[in-house]
Amino acid sequence: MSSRYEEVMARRAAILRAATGLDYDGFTDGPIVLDYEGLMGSTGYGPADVRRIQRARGVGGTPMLELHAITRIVREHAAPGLGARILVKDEAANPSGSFKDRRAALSIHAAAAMGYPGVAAATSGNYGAAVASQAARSGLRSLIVQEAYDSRWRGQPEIIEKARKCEALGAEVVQTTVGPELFFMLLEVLEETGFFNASLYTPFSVQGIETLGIEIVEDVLAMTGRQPAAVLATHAGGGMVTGVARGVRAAGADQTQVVGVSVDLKGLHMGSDHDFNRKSFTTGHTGFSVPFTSWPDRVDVPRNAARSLRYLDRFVTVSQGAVFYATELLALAEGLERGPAGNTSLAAALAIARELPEDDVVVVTETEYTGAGKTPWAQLAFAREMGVRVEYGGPAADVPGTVITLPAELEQVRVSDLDLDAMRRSYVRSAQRAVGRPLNDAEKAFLVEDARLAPEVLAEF
Amino acid sequence: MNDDGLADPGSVADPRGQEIWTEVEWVVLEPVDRSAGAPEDTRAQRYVARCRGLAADPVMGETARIRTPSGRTLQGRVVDVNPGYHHGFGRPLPEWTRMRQGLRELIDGDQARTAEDPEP
Repeated sequence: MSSRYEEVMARRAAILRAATGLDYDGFTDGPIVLDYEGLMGSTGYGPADVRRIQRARGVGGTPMLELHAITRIVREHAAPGLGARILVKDEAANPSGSFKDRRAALSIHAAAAMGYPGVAAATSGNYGAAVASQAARSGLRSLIVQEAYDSRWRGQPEIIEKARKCEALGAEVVQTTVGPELFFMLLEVLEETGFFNASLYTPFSVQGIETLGIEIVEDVLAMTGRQPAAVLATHAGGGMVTGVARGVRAAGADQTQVVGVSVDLKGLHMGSDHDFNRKSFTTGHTGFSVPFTSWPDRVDVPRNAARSLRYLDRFVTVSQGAVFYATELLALAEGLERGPAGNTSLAAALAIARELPEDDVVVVTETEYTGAGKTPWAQLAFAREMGVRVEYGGPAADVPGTVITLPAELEQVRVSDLDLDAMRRSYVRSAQRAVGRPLNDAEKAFLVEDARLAPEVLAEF
Repeated sequence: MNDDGLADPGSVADPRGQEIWTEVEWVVLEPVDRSAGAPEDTRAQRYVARCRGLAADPVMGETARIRTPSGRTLQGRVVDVNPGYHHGFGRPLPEWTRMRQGLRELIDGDQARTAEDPEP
């Protein structure tokens, strides 16, 4: 006898097909091969359409701010001639306070055009507020399914704040305890309501981010006459990295390095009831980014349009403490009190800009709104409540879930490089497991393209 | 009393018979029915959900039906009547205060160096 869980999961393909309005089957051949550009083009919207749709909804065209004081401070701590200019795209200026409005705008425009009565999404992040906000603008109902609590009903304050914001914008919010069954909850809701699945991982969502990459290149060219040397994108499910990189390339920036940045949460299990509330970041961390990079199709749509290995030139991590340091520096030195997501990349910028010449430009791709539950103050108080030690400077490094060390010096803000080639190999191993036989030529060719894999690496397998 | 230290305004039904903003809870999956993909500590627990909507005459601990903002009807055990939001900032930690002091000095040093030319 199968359980309700198994029954719903068995219907997943049909439920998801009905809930996205996209023909994924037409672009796939088995579990591996995907006509990626074909899928991306299947939305029927071009870059000019996306920009027009977003602007009409109050999305995009956000200010690009040069961080003068932070740049000077970085130079003071760099070797002579080094210390790139640091700029940040103030995405908090979007209607619901984050770049996620770009992802939601096109999805909800498409859902309304296709006649769906409402939209649903599974997310504990800013994306829920973006969906609620954009749905309200289209007169559609919205429903957010959110992993929010451990088994003792303790909620991460950042997630509770995000639920509040969704409800403020008119959404129904279903909050669950910890577990991978969130996807099952989403499927049940989609089946019951007939709503559009405003997944983070559809082509609509990723196309919506391309405008951010295009604007970054345009803004930096207008302000400095140069291409950015690096764009630093906080990396979780891969959408930001993929969309920004596609936009940067579409805008003609061929010299710009795309750097993914995640908070290091190594050792914490994302689905664990015990570990759930022992992290101070709910997204933009390695618990999402590492598995998503090396196997992108672990998502709530048939295939993931966010495929970061195609675009990542570098992938680094920063500690939780370093992000808190960057957040406070941004507030005190630049007068910008902003939320955690973009500050993950800002922490990396403090280290990476020190390695680059003064003439170079480093762009942090986003800020987000902040407030109750989201500030370092709130996060650190909660961490201590959960038994996590908080230390200042000193010899102790961050041990995710156990110790957060707040830097005492700028030099203590560092990046660690993750091995992209190891992730490429991991991707091939996952692909082999998925097909359960040696890979055929078409699959090998796709992996070379999708993981930017050196063809000779395949001989190892 | 709720955790704001205020008398709970929703512990009695609205005398005008209007629906009241209510939070209900229900068990989605028993431990035995949970995903095999969940870690052991998670699979030992029930998978439980909560949602807020409007209910007529909700009573704490009793079953109620709510009308949700998306237009659904859900049934569950009432866990809060007129539920609020109680997340905030907590108290600042001394380590955080020390980090801020260090940043203040870093920025003051920069300001002193650039007093005559604020642009880089």
